[in-house]
Amino acid sequence: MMQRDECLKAFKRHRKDEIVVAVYMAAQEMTHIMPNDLNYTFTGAMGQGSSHALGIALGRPDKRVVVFDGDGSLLMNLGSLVTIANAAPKNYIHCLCENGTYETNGSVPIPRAGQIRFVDLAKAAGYPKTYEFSNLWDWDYELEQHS
Amino acid sequence: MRDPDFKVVQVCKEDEGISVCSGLFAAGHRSLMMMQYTGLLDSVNSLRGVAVEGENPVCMLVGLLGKEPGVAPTQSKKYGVKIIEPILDAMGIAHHWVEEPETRRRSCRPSKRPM
Repeated sequence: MMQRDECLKAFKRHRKDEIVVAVYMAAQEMTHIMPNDLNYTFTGAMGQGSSHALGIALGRPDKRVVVFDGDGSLLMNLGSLVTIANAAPKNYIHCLCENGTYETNGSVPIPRAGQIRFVDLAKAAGYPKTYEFSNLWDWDYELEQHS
Repeated sequence: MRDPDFKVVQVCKEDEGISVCSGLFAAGHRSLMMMQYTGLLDSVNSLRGVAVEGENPVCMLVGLLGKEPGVAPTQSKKYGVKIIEPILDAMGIAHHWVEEPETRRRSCRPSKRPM
């Protein structure tokens, strides 16, 4: 079990000059934990964070773009996995925080909460590399490898 | 799609495209969202959040598939076509009907309001 705010704190320790897109509750936590001019929290409508991040990544190929998405959000824009895989920007990193809910709407459970293999969906869509973490140590280690 | 003057980003669903345009704008680029009117109807919430409330310029070229030639969209017998302009009006989104070459030229002027 990983807490999202702890994940963000770990990310902050390794952050360099990445543009970071976060949605809803993750955006609030990000603003609190790691205020930064390169934080992007304007995603307009639920599910759209991954698509905003794609536009930014395509427009700024010189910068890494990291999106902190939610499982409820991604389910509202699942096709974006295929769109992103097709556009294939090398500077795009898609992080999904899975809590089994549409958190912003009162933590209503998502369909098949806890039974969806999001990492497999990403693989099947064509993401070239996928990782799955269930403890902070592994997350922190992988951030170190990629920073 | 093979025109080297354009970079085409294919999307699976139209509301994604609105958001990709928004991201490109944040990154300093101009973009054009091309879709049919059905896609616009499916993107109303993205447009509401991004283009209207967020005041983020999103330029769209929207096809009116099935519109009768020479008939104003609001007079179309096709329900989906008929409701497009009233919906844009209700959202406060500036729009131009482009059918003849002359209107095409006029519509290429920049709009002062987000669309």
